[in-house]
This record gives sequence, structure tokens and C-alpha cells, in this order.
Amino acid sequence: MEKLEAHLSRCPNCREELASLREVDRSLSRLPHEYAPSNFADEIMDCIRNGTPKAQPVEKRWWAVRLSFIRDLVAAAAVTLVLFWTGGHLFDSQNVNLAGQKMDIAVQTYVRVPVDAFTRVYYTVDSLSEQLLLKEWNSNEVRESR
Amino acid sequence: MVTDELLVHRAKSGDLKAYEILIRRYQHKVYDLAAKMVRNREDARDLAQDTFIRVYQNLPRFRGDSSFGTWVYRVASNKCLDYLRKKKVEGERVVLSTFENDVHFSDSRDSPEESAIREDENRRLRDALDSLPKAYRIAIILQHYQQLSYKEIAEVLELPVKTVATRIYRAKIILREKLTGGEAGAVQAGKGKPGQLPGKGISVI
Repeated sequence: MEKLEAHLSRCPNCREELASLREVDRSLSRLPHEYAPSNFADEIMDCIRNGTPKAQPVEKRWWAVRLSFIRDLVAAAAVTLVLFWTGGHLFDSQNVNLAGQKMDIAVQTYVRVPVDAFTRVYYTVDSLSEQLLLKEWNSNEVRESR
Repeated sequence: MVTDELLVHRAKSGDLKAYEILIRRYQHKVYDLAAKMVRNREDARDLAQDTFIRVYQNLPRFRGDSSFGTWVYRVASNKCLDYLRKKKVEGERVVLSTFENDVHFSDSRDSPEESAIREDENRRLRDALDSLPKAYRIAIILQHYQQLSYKEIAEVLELPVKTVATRIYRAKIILREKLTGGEAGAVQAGKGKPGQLPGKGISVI
């Protein structure tokens, strides 16, 4: 503030600028305050007591409803097909048993050695998934060679 | 005096009387803001009332991150800016100086001549305010008439304080030119394209 005042004391341009801006402030001050009507608050309270209208949901057109239904149906069919064709190989009973055994080992390791538990679980699951993939790969190769 | 925080707490618990006290505390400020933004008493009344109803509806979600006053001003400012935006889209003139319900300012103690002079002076002032882009107008109304600090205005408008300071300064430059009969564009010489005001994304209404 002191720096500003010091600058103003030796800069006529800035003094003039400041004076003109203060004149704008004085002009603005001539516009009086507007007061709310006397029943203003009562009207709002009446509105609140009687319940304000709530936003109405936009009604969907029939073709929009039908299109969204068809879209959902197609998506569900696609997911079912993907699961049927790809999941059929991965989730046979032998693989699921093997996964269960490995997971059991992973959980036991985690309970016994809590310090590096996370790392062990991670590597066990990683090796499990690798074994599953290898198994799947080999069975595919055997099938193709026949 | 009971604090806003306590009244908000009571209103949240379903105490309508507490909310009524809050309305009475802020009604004139919000109405004045709306009247100066839209220059039409009927619309100002609707906008101010909508503000308090909106605030009431959203009261359960008010976490007190800002003061109640700041929140009320924010809702009111957004309502006014939306109103002006819609009016612009509809291609209507917002300045209704020839309408019956236009905001007039006169003092009953004045003689007819004095009253006419005062009316004329106020009309010039109102025209100058209305000529400001709405982003500048709201900033200067909050600063000059609502007496908010730059920091409070920044909170209301959700802008950096520096942007608020720049907008208020530029608004005053434009007002000065308008009130002294100069051209607003003259002050921006070399600072932008013709018809465009200084500042990012600020267009002339």
C-alpha cells in the first residue's frame, strides 16, 4: 500500500486514472438499492409449505424405448455367445479344480507369512494363470494335430 | 443475532421458521442483485424467489464448504446469468426501459424538474451497466452494490480472484467511457478484435 501511494505521489497518469475510476464509483453509488416487495418472503414460504412443483421426467418416445430394448437384447446375446465359446474351454472341471487347489495354497501362504503375503499371492496367481494358459494351449495343439 | 450456520442447521432439520429468517435476512440483497442484473421488477422478483426455493430444495446437500450467503449469491447469480443467456437465445431485448414495470429510481422529495434530471441520470447509468457483458456486470454489481470482497466474488462466481479483479477493472473502464460519452472500444485499442472485449471468452451481449 505504501509502495502504491509512493508511486501515485510521483505519477500524474496513475493519479488521473485512479481519480477517474473513483468518479465511476461515485456515479454507480447514485443508483439506489432495490428492496424486495413486502410480501416477498411470505410468497416463498407459501410456495414451500404447499410443496414446490418437482421436475417432470421426460417421457420417452415409443421407438426410443423399443430401440433401447433391442440394444440391450443384442448386448446380452453377444455376452452369452462370447462366454459360451471361450469360457467353455477355460472353465472345464479339471481346470477349475486345479485353480481351486492353487488358490488354497495361495491363501494358506498368505495366512502363514503375512509379511510378504501379497507378493506370494501375486506370484502364485500369476503362475496359476500361466499354467492354465499353457494347458489350454497344449490341449488346443493336440486337438488340432488330430 | 442467531448465526446463519445455526439457522441452516435448524432448517435442515425441518424448521421452516428458521428458513424464513434466512430469507428475510437475504431477500433485499438477492432482489437488488436480480433487479440490477435484469432491470425488470417482475423478472427480478421471480428470479429472487426461485433462488430461495432452489436453495431450500438443495438444503440437505449443503455441506457448509462456503458460507450460506456465498451459496445464495451463487445460486442467484447463476439464475440471473441463465435468464440473460436465454433471453439472448430468444433474441429478445432484456433492457425494457419503455416497459411499465421497468425499474425506476426517483426520490419523492424532488421537484418535478429534479426528478426528471435524476431519472435521466439514472437511466444513463442503467444503460451503461446494461451495456456491459453479463460476466462483467455481475462482477461489478456484486462488488459495488453487494459490497462483497474480491475473494467472496471469486467464491460466488467460482473464478480465480485475479480474473474477478480484471473483470471489475475492465467493467469500470467501459463504464467510464460510456458515462463520459466516449466509445467503449477506444479503451481496448490494440487489445483485441473489433466487437470483442478484452478477456478470454467474454463476448458483448
